[in-house]
Amino acid sequence: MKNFKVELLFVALGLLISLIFVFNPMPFWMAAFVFVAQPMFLFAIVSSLIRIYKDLKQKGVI
Amino acid sequence: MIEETKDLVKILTTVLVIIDFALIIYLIRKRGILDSKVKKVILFGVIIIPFGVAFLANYHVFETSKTIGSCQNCHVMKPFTNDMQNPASMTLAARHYKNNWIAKDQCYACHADYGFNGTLKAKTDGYRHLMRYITRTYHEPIRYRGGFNNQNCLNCHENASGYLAVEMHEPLREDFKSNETSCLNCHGRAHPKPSSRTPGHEDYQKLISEFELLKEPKNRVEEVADFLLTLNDDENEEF
Amino acid sequence: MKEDDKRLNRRDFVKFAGGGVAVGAMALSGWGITELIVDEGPVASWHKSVCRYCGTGCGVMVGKRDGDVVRIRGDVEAHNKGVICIKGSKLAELTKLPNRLSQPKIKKNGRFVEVSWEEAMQLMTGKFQSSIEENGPDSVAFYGSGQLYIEESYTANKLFKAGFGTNNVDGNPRLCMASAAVGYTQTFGKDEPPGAYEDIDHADCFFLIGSNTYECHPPLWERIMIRKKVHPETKIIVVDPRRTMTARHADIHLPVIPGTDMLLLNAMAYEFVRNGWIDKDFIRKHVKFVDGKETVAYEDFARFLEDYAPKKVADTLGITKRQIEEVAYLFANSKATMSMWTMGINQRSQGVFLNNTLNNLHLITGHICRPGATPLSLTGQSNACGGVRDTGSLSHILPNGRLVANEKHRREMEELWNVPEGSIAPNPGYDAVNLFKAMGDEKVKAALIMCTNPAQSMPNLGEVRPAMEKCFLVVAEIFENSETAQYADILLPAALWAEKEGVYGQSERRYQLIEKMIDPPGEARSDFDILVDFANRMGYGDLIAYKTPSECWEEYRKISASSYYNFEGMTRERLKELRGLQWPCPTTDHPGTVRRFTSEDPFVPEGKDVEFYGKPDKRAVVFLRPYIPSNEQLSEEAPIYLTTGRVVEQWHTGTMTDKIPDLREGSGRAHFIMNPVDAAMMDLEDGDLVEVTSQYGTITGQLKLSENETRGTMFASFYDSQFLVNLVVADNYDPVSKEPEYKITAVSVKKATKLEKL
Repeated sequence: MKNFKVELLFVALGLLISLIFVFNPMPFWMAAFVFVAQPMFLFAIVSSLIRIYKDLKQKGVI
Repeated sequence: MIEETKDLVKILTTVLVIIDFALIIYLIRKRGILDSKVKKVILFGVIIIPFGVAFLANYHVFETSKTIGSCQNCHVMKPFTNDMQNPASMTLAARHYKNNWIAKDQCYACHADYGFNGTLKAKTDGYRHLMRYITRTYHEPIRYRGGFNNQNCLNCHENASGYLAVEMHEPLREDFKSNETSCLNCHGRAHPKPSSRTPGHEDYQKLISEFELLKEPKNRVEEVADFLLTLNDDENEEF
Repeated sequence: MKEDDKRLNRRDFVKFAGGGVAVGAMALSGWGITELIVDEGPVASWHKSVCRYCGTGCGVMVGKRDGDVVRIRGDVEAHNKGVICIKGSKLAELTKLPNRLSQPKIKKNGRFVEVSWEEAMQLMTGKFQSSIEENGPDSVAFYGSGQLYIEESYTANKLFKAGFGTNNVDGNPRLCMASAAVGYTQTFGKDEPPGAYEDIDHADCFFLIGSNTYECHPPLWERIMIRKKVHPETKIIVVDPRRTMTARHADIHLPVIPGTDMLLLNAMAYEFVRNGWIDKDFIRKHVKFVDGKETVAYEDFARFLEDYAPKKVADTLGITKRQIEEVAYLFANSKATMSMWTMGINQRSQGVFLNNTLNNLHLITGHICRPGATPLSLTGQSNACGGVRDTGSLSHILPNGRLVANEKHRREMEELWNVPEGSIAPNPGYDAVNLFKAMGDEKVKAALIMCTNPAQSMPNLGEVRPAMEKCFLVVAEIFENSETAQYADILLPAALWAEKEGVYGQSERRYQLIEKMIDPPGEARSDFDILVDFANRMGYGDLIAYKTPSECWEEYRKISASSYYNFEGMTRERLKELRGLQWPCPTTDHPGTVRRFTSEDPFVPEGKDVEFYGKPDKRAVVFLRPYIPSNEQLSEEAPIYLTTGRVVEQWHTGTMTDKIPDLREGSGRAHFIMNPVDAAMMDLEDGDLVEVTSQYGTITGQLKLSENETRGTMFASFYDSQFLVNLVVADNYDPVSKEPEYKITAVSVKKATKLEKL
């Protein structure tokens, strides 16, 4: 339960795409950022939050 | 100014990405542990910094897509940008360009509704075009879905003397706002006609071929609206 | 547990795959949402059509939803490149006007009562039959319109001329285009202009005379301004007694005194000759000089012009010698000069001479038959060219440039129409002005009026309206309350614009198809159906054997092949597909002819750049046309010229446009406009109610003052049925074209105390 591998992978990929787009704002990379990188961030964020929430609940913090 | 902002975005994004990669490496090392320090790092590495990068990149989307160059990056836009920069062309876009009625970002000036302050629908349409383009799910000649929003014209012209001098504009004010009557009805074709933009048409090759950008337009005027306000009736294009 | 952390285990893989799917789903649904949010707007389908109103003949796109017209846009694929005007933009509202005439009506005891089509048509047939039997075919007449479709005018013309045997077929194009038509025919041997709108994109000098293009042909004006914006060195010269919106945008405005502009044109020719600004080579090859009767030498022409030296005529024109010289210089020395004119030239007692002389200027300078160099007469009505001039639906002409008075032409048409020799009467019928006079004299006893409003549009209405009373009138109308409808004995509800199908032909020889896309109200029928029904009831079912506009077009298209108008290549299918075609267009693979008499014209022999094949000797004619002052001259009693015209928001007599709220609001109510100095000298103020009197009549109306009116001239528009300015307007007419001189009436103005009810 304490494994964030997939989230970190998504964040890393998302950051990479964003970085490439910022330096090379071509249509393909713009689409990759808008339609792939952003969902990746969203997935990573939501997934992490869920896990932290579950962890906190398990520990009885909330 | 914009160049500086763009550079700032690049620097900030790079810095954030480097920091985040450091955090990611830290988290990989700390795998299996979920103490409060790790949680804080996760908060920054997975949530706050990606959020910040996404914000910067989104800003970049809007900023970079203002330039003619950015529009030209999609080759399907070549007939439009080439025509606009062709001094012999008679389209509305070309006349605005040639006569320096718009100082910079000439595509964006008339398609401002794609931009940050534009309508949701227009912004969405921009993303739609993007997806259609990269997935090659479009057909030439491309066409507008719905209609061109008059507000783009009114942004500059609404209070210009040339516009106000035409009495007929007055009873149509509401029509213009609701797009029931298009400004283009009387003021013409903005871009090459669809048939010329169809592969196989005699004009098509000319329209998509590489076009040498004009030198800096002379008499550069920085503020469009101010410039238009200085026009007197005789100099204005409207009838 | 440790192993679990080192590499991706099964659970991680599932999660990774899940995440991938989630990201993919978000990407796809994001795209999907964009496709859903961005809709097509209120329009379900777009259809090409042509604007209902003026002679520009703009292509429009009609947006429909659930059977209704919901949007109108300019057609970017059409010749007008997507530009239309405010009237065209409001076409959707035209299709929804309430209180349309939807049932035939007969006047009984001074009131209209609804009847069936059968009863109305029977009564009409009976009246026409008895009139022809008792008083001969010349006791009936057809008064048509430059707004009827080609098939409709063609059918009426054929029925009356080849069927009934009367040439009493005339129409409102007599009031606007006759002088231009005769002018072209005399100069080039054939009617219709040599050039096209496309020339606007190439001209370096525009000579606009007697045309308020800005208000009357806005898309063409926009095109001129586009040319100027792209090529700022382009010069625009406007000759107009008024400082119209067109004049206000010109480089040079010459406010000549009404009726004197013939002096200007000849003075310009004088300057061309004096300075050697003539194209000798072109003249040698393609031009001859005629003094009105016989061929003369160039030297005679030069001598004739001596009376028109700028210094001799400047004062009469009300401008300066230098202005004339400057304009002459610009006209002759530009790379390509294009003249355009309308009613200021055509509606004149010297209309034909003025048209000849304008053509002269182009012929002697060689500003013709090249891109941008051409004399182009702009048409007032949507189908005056195609429908009336080309089908020969005027009292003196026959289809495709033939003349009633020419026996060979009559024989040709009799053969083509398959009627016995002698079916077509040799005497021209009544022209518009004389047709209504003949109604007054009870020589014409029954007439069919279609798609026009003479009780408002004819000059000297004080004489025309009582004359209409005396004649049995069948009026095909869209509204019961039009001025003309009041004089009808039978009112037939007519379909309008896209409620019927037919071909429109505009100023530049372009024929465009309007397809039916909505149903007419109630029992209204197309004018075509009315005419075909009428022909059958009158016993001419064999002559008018076709039943649909398409079948009629097939007949007419084939007939055209035996003339220089040849448009046999314009099949219905091509017209459905294309944004019109310009004749000559002899074969189905011919692209149409933009510039006539040039190498692209199929009638010009191969290897020749230019040939005026309309003339037997292939030479266009430069006429020596003298200035003859108008009958209307200022005097102490009538110290100011009244001139009439259109305003941008309204079209013609306002039957359609004045019922559309935005257009009505835009134009306001019709009124007189006068220069403040003139007003002050007559002791008049802005907003005064004034009484304007000519030797023809009097009307009262509101006076507005504007410095854009030049001194000595006042203006009024004729769209308002509550302001019948034509009661005052003179009915002098050109002796050749018979077109009335609407533009010049000497009037007196005095303050009125109350508005006289019309």
